[in-house]
Amino acid sequence: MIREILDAKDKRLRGKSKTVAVIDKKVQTLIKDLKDTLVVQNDPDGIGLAAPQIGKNIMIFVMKPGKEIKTVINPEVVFISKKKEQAQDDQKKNIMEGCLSLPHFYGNIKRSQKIKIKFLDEKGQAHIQTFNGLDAQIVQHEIDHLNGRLFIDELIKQKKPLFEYKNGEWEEVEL
Amino acid sequence: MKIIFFGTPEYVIPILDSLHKAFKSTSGESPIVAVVTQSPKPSGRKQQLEYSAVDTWAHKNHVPIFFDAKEIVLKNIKADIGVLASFGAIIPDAVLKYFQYGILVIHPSLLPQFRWSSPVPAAIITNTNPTGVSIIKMDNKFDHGPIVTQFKEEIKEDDTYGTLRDRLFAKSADVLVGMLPAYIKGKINLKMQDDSKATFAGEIGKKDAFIPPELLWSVVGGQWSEKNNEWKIPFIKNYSLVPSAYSLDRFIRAMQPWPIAWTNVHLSSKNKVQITKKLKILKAHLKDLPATGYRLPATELVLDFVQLEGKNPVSWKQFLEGYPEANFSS
Repeated sequence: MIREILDAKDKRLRGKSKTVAVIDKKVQTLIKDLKDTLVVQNDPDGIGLAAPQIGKNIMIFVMKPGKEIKTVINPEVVFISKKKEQAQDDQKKNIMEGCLSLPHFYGNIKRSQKIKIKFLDEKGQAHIQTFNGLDAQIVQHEIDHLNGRLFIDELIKQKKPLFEYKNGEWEEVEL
Repeated sequence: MKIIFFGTPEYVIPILDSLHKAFKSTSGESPIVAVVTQSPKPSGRKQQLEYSAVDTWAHKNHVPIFFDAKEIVLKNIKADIGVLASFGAIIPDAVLKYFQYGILVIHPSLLPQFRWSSPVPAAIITNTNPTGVSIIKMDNKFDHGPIVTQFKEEIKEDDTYGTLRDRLFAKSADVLVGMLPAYIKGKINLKMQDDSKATFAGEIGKKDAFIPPELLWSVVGGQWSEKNNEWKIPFIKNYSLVPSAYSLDRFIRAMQPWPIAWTNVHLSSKNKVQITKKLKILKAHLKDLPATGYRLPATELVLDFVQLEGKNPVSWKQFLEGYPEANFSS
């Protein structure tokens, strides 16, 4: 099922998510819905989606930095690098951060370039994995969602402007 | 340029008008050599034959009218290209192959989003903003052909299905006229659609405009129930909304001017027996509620005009005065 992605104004995005106790049928359906919803996004393309964004305050997100989709349940941060930088693409260009709950808005956010998390996959297997660069950025962005935080909160904290990409042009907007 | 136009409703007339004006020959001959449209249907209480808007347009402009696409081939009507907008029937393969430059379809969404027949209400309901129009070259699958051009259009806060649809078709008339000469010369690279991102919005009927009463009631008070976090929208394939004042407001606008959102309301008759009737929601708007001592800021849905089955439209306030016992439990 493709689910409505909540707009940043919606209060449900501000709630704290609960830990998943059992990966039952309901949770499996929710994971499938997250995947179905993420893959059809094309303006902009989606690379990550957290359960609160479809109205469920539980600790699950999916990410798709390339072709493969990864499911992350109950993430716990084991290590996070102190130094924060903006992620870069293959051509060494800075990647701006955006969010499917606030489509077409972007900001130059600095994130830790390395994050190690403990989590369960959709089969309930425990993993410890280190993410770097853009992957690390996605993981931090999605964990923020599970804690009721949005990337615009981080922009305000880092005193960076928000930009809107509209009709092929960038425009700075008031936060 | 010789064009055959396939289409039916009023809102595609701007496309016919633009083509007619832009490619008229020096002697004043229309580039539209024929139209194919739905046959007139008996309508209204007197069951008089009602001709489609395209039919009426063609009659006025002395353009031959056909009700079956196959006749184009059978009667060997000479044309270079077909243009199709809201035709409402399938084009046979033989007709598709008949045109040297194929048939261009004007589809009011950013394909591959919302293929099939209800892309405009689907874009409003799902808050797919901007939406837009795709002009594609028809192939043998529905809304699947390669994209010739696309343009984007913002959905406004008060847009309804009707207003957005009319604007999209009016703008696509200009875009089509602008790109046709380059397309005929082969100067436009067609782009295949990414099928993995395709979504589908099928035909809407009156039953699709139903709002479960308990959902409506929960957002009219500016609240929602944690239990109700999934609302399936049957005409959009495989899609569900999260009920909220925002999504209900969009849903009500997406059902205007047809089929019009409705819900069930319980009323009590003179002998205190509860009866259930249909209530159409004609108009509603969003209202921000400021934070108070005990409540966070919220947004509620305010109903403006409603219509009980068999009655005239009234304001929401009048309705509540007339039926103070009305309740919306499921």
